[in-house]
Amino acid sequence: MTNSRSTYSRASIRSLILLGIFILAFTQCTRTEDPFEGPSMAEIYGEFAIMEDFAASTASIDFSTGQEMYFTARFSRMTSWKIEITSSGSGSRKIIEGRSRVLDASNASWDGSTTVFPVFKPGQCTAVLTVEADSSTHQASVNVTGGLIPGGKVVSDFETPIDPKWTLFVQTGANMSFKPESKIAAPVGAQYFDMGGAVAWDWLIGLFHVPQSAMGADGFDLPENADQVYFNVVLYRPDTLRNGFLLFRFSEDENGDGTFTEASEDQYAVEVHDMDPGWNIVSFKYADLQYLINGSPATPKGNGVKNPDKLNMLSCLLLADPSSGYAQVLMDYMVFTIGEPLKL
Amino acid sequence: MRNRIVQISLSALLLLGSAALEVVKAQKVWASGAARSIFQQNNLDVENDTVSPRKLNSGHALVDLAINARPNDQTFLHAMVRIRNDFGGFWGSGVTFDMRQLYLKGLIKNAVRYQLGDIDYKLSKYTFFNNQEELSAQRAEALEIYREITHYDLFYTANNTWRQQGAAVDFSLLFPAAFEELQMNLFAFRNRPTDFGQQNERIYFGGNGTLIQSRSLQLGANFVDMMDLTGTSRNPQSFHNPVLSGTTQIDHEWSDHSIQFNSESGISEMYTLNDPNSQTLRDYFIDAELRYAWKKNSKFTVNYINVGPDFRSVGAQNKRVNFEAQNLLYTRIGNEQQVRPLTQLDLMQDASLYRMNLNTSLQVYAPQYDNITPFGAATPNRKGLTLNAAHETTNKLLNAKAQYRMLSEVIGQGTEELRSFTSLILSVSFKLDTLLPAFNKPLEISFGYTDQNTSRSNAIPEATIDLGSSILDLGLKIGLLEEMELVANFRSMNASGNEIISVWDNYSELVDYQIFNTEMKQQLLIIALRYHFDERNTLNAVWQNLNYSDSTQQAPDFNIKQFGIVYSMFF
Repeated sequence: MTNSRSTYSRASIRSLILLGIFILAFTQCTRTEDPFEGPSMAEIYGEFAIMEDFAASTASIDFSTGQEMYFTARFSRMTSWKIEITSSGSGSRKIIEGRSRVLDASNASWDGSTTVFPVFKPGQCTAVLTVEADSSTHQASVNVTGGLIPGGKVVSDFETPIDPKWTLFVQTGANMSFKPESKIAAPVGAQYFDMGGAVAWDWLIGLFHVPQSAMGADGFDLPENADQVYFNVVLYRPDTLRNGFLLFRFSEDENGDGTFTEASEDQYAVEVHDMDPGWNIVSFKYADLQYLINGSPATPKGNGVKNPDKLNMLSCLLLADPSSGYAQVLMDYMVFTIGEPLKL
Repeated sequence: MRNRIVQISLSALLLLGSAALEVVKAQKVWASGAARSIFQQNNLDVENDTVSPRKLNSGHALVDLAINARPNDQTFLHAMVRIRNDFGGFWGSGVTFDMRQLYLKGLIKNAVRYQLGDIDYKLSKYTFFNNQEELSAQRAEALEIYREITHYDLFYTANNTWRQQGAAVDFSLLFPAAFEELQMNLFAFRNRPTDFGQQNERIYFGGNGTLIQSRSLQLGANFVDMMDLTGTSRNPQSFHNPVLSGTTQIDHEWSDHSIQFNSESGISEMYTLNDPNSQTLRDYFIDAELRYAWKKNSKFTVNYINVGPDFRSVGAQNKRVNFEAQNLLYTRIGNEQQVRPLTQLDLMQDASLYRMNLNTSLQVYAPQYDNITPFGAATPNRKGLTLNAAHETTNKLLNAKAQYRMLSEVIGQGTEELRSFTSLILSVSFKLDTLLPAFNKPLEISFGYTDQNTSRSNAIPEATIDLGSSILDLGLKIGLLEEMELVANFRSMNASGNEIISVWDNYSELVDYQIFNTEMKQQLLIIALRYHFDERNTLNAVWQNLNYSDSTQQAPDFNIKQFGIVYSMFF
């Protein structure tokens, strides 16, 4: 008993010493002396007033020459806001949203790009600013004298018949359509590519392959750095059809023999699901592509390095659950861009 | 392609099978695993919804087949494959074949234990800990039927480990005097591989040492660091999050009494090298707890915490539930096809809502489910007291637990006024069969109640916070036959009021706020018949009825009825 008590006593003393060391250690720790963390509530939720009226930086703009413009306004505190620019002729719309005290070139600039297609063409536009804090709206006018000219290596804008060098495969099913159409307004030009059909026994509805030979003598002519290369396409999902999805495949010719060898060369891919209804730009950085097996990432069969400069063939497959019935996706303006995603 | 996968899968199975036979022959290899089959019928009811499909059926069967090998006394190998067949697939299109887990472990010189491959690991609540998900406070059996399956799929274990891949080593040193033993646990895990482009390889490493002075005193230190390895990609930026903590445990027992003091305190840093936008977040925490037990039936605990607003610990603050994810079942509802809100039903059975990887930033949480410690014990910017009491009668008739928390922020968010938090958790269960020895089957009822309140006054009306939530659980278990029982649970959840949710950027810094309002009401009734073929082989027929409404959300109110057959077996 005595022995036990003495052990406990020694332990207690050591405990207290060590506890003291811990306490001393953490009294040396300091915290921020700021009165609070994060943005001030007064700045975000205080009394609201518009200190500087909504205005456009210029009354006239030519986006085809690379010009940019911006909108300005200033509020007494931070608020969410939305600028909706509408073309009076075509109905094209550009939406810029943000949350700040000030609107300026850093957060409210417009380069002529479009949110709701078709693309902006020359004509008068109205910009409407909606401020969340007081639900007020404010207007400014801009005269667009030249529309944005998109850059990049265009694979197809579907304005001409499909290149015979493309390989087109369409299943035998109901209401199959893999052809250029112009039934609805195209985002760019007059035509788009209509892919649709119902195939009750297979996920695949149809596909097309674009070989490098279809792109001219230089092929796809993309740089080596996969971080710089973006694949872009404008897609349309009908309001009532959400079952279709696209699989894009990028097959590389790593050994330079002019063909893609599935067993020993890389094939990267991306699936496009859950598209919003209407026309939308979809962009992927080449560096973010993955080798997919049944939609799941897997180890590539080639050198495992993404080499856009060795792209041999671009493929697009329209897929849908066989039990889900008719599926349809429209496509327009398929293009590779360098350094940034496509702006339309 | 799928047929080929199936062929490969079958070949692998045959190989595994023949390997298993060889093992049995040599008494060094044996098979183990699990199997289950689930079939569910769901019925959705949304008023005036003419778009969403109302009835959905789904199901699958799967087998997890493991080969265990002990080539020598000091080495153990385990490899498990999963073959899953979703009902409705044909020509092999619904079959998937995955490697579920693979590890090797052993003992070197009877002194150093090691494990390579898949590892379940944890340290302390502030360094490396897989916190329970929301709604885990009450554990009536009916609530566990689907939850256990979800946890099994996600490798969530009962002792809060994270499933990681890498290496771990344990060893201990014995001392002749002054101290009895030094226990060391070290690990290094690969958190993220490089993509050879802009994404560096990310590792998570650390360990702990526990110095055992005697039965009365233990001192420990924990260290973890998540860091990017520069040079593994073209990105020069390198994320770091070192966390260091010290622990103390003092025990004393006399007659029918025991008392224990536990403490942990530590510091953390979070920064990204070569990133001009990154600030260094640096802070500390203190956690001290006093426990008293009487006759081992009654326990009382007093706990004090002070966790700094800039304390960041990736391994301890990661949330299981991804509240930004969408339900797999009835993802969108109503004629406007609004995203269906997460419910308690989804949290129990939708594994796609859960995370298995450690992310570096603080994640979105749901104040209506837990607003007090959404990131577990290591939730930043909390201080205050927690009182716990628990009592169990010797004959196990009554088991009662209570917890009361009084916490507040350490510093305010956007204002000098502090949020104050209170919570009360009560749970009582009665094993009535202890009073009816002739009944000879389980007869249990349980009651659980959780109440949380958050408040902050402010001169600016929008900055005033008043949020309350409550959860009521009523559980029942009746043995019908020796092997069959009826289990049921009714859970009612209510959340009402407003909160201002913090918005963190990619560097875990508070940059904005988001106004949150809720008037949520959920009721879930579960009734299940459970038949035990044996201890590890169970068949359940489960009926569930969920009602959900929240007048502050765009999604319409809805009701889901679900009937499921759930068979599970471990071998």
